[in-house]
Amino acid sequence: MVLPITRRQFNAAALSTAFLPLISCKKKSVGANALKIGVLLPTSGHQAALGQECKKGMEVAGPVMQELLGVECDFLFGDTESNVNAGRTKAEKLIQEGAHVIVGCYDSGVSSAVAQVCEQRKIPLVLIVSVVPQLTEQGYKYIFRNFPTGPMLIKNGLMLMKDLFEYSKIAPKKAAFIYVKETYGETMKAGVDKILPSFNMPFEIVSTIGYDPKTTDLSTEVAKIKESGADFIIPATRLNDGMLLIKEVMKQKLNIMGIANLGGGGMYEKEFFNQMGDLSNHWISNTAWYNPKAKIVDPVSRVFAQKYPDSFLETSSMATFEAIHIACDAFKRAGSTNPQELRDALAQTNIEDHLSLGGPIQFDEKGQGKNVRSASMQNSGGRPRVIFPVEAREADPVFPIPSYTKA
Amino acid sequence: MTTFLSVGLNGVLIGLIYGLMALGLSVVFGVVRVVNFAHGEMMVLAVYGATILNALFRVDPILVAPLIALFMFFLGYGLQRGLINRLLHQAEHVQFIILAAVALILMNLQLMIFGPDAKAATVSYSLETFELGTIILDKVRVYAALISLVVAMALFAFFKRTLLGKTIRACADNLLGAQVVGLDYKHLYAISFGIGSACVGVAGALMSLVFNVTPHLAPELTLLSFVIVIIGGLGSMGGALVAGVFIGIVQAYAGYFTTPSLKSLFSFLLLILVLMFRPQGFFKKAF
Repeated sequence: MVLPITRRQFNAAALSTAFLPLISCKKKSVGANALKIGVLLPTSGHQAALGQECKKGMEVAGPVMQELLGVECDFLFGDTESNVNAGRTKAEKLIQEGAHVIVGCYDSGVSSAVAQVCEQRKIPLVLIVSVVPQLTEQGYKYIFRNFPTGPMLIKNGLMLMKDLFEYSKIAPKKAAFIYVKETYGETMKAGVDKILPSFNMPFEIVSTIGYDPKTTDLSTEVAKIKESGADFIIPATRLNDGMLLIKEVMKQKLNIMGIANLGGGGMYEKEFFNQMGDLSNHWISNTAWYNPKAKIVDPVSRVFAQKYPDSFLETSSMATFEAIHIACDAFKRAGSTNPQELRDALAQTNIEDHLSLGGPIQFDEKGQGKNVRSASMQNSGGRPRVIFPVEAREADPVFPIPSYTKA
Repeated sequence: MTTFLSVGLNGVLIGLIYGLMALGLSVVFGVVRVVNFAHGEMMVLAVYGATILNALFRVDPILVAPLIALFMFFLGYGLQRGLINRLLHQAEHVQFIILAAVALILMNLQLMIFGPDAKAATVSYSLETFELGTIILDKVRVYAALISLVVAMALFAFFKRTLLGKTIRACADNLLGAQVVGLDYKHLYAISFGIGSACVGVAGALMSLVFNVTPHLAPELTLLSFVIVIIGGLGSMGGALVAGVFIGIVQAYAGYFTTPSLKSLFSFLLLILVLMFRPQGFFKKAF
């Protein structure tokens, strides 16, 4: 039997086969200074808007880390779909694809599942947002977070509120706490119930209202707040419900001194300003924020403005950038992609010039950032501006709000 | 007492919009006997249509509602003519899977095109209210509810008074008889689906004034419409409207007297009670 192939054809095929690995490696080829970072974010599902915002931080981190640290980031991206099971599966997939370190996942529930995977597989996880305290309280060795926990956010927020009342020489007497019934909102509620009584605030909570995360109507909730006589509202909302809340407050003409949250979003996102226009002014967010006076803000803002000229840096993008910064810094110091060495380098982190407000980035023995702080931002002129702490102030506080009907 | 009345009246206003939304589903089921699982996605499409026109031309969604309704009519007509008519003699689970697939495709297309952010239309009176003594009523809700009522009445009149409406009812009532007298039932089915979709179009345009909507809300809207239609009576147009108002009031007071996060629970509780004690719903079918 004669094979239907000539010697010349065989040689050509053999030569082509020899080159195949080179071709297939070309795409994945990364330099010695490259770190494979698995990024897990909810870019679809009900938290998609927040995940998309976080992703901007990732896109900015690549060129900035190359410029500042000489580290090449090779991002392996996974969409958690705002779903715990999908998050766990994607974490496994990214680790199989060779991620040296994972950063994610914004949502505390998803982060809890991914933390288990990373701990089992001994791959470092640098958390993005994920405020549930237990994440760094379970004795995990590979989990790091430079973001305030829920209780820390509440304590920081209450301190900042006191600063605001002291500055304004006026304080509300009755407050309503309205929260979204999901992991984040429930954490905030538990924190408020536990922490607020010990803070000797000038107001008492006269109404606590939880609502469905997928709600499209907050008229009943706001009617209940109005009935309670509250003159101050503390929300724990997401973006969509934050907008619903403020519109409803205006429609029902609540006589309030202001709205200020104790951590989390809902009132500082670009989309909030896009949709609310002038009505976005005066609302206050107390949460982790970037330090507008930090040196690193310049390169970050420059790259951000190039990539997203119609947007601005905020908590989600800042937290994602910073998680990647922490991972790259550890990689640079470790000089290795070995997960154990990366983990040890992460534990020894000491970053002076960083994006978030607070002292140098350092972790305690549990992996929680020791020097993270919150800022108080008040919306004005189409973006949030830092009003406290004083050293980072961008605008003077306005409290009580002039009148929301004129806001 | 003021809050109690305000909450109840707001429930009525929202309920009328719910009713119009469910009316679209009821018309389609009542005539074609197909359950439209893409109902919520079509609703969201209408909301986005109104929102985009509002953003581009600063035009009031109420004014563009007829345009949106016309677009949705042709979309519904095309869907019935091009797809669902081919499935009429297939098993129910085939129809279910196909329409669920249409829903998934529509939702993901919306996500790709419009993104995941919530959208709502803004008009000059967005934050204005009517004040009846101490009772405050949201102006956009009042307008939206009144238009819902007018559209529902027009629809009832169409089916009761016009020849086309009567032939559609004839098809729904006795398909074999309709075929015997020479009615083109496939065309009539397509018109019915188109009318149902047009209702959804108007409801969506009105909803863009009242709610912030994301593509992910679509399954919730489909489910809510099912609940309303089942409570009102499958295929009953009047039942859908009444049940919509009823659900609006129940949800409003459930939120007022208990925890607002339990609003949906009460809708489903009501559904279970209806299925247990009056499975045919509040009203008999009208077709």
